[in-house]
Amino acid sequence: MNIAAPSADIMKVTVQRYRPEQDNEPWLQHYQVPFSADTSVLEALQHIKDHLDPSLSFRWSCRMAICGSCGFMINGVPKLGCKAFLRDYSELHIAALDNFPIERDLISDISGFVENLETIKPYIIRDDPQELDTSQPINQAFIQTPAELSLYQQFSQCINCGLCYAACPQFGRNPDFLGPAALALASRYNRDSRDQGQEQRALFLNAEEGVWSCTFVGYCSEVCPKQVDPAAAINQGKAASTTDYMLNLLSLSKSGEKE
Amino acid sequence: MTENHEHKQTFRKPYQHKQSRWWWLQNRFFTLYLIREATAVWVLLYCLLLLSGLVSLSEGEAAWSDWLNSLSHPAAVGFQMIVLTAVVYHAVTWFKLAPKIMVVRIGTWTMPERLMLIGQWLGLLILTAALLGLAIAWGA
Repeated sequence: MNIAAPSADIMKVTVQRYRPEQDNEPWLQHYQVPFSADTSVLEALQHIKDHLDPSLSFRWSCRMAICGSCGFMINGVPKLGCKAFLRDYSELHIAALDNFPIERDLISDISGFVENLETIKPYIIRDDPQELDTSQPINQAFIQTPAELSLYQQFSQCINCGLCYAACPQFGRNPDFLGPAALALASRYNRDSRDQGQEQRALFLNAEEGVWSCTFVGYCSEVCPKQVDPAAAINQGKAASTTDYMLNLLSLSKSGEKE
Repeated sequence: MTENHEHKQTFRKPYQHKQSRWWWLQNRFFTLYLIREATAVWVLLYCLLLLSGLVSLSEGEAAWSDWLNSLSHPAAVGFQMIVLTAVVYHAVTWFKLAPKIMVVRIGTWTMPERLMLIGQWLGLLILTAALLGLAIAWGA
């Protein structure tokens, strides 16, 4: 590949703008951005902000697909700005993530997603809360084998970037749907050998807004930058939810008692 | 603390984009998904066709043979070809998804996705062959 000198090539970059104090709806602005073989989409936006238009707003932090801040629709596909490169495109169209309210320019309001994350109790729950009493010194080791770790490790890699929500037409239809990342995280804790909170989470997972709002479009797993595969987690959750339902019918499950 | 309304002024006005009714044309992945879901419509129509066959069977031999003959009308053959394509497409796509839904773990060994795919296709082939064999033996 020809490694171009900096500023050798120029790409037309179209950015969706939305300024709540002036605009009633988003509009498009075009920029000419110099790039080289290693220029990421995030760097292109930074170039625009530093040299062309300081009013452009977008979120970013780590630049290396860890923080999950710089998710955008890049040519219609949800991607991390730091993980997409100009060399792979002939023209760029950058917009805020689909399915979230737009706060300003490329900044989405993901507070609904964060609330969904909180709903599914994403932490280790013990039947005896004394065991996790943070005011006490840890007096018990929660030992876990590599085999037990491997049951949930994949689902613990989520960075909460929200790409899967932008990829989910069911979340687009119904923002009350807990959505891919929250359900994958619920699955991650349910699979953890140290956790005893399955019955508490069952209430949310078995609800209409839980696993059953998913119709296995599968695009969430396709766009996930960390290979979490939320579609697999959710649809395996449907099997668990069905089992739980049958146990409830036979009055064998404890999760039904709380309803 | 005194209330100062001037400081409370906000320009917040989140823009909520409404999902287009044509969202499934937005990318190839969505379109293929909707085709998979829409195969159910063709299967439903085929079930109605079979049901009408059952009704004509109850109406006597003439009605039954009329129904049988109507199946070889070019339009009927075309319809059945579409239904067959839809069902095969549904099988292909669902067989691909099955390993994601059902993880088979024996001890520390996890069944590879490829093995599950092969197993499903083998099962389908054996069942189809058995059904065909049965139908041919019955007809003979």
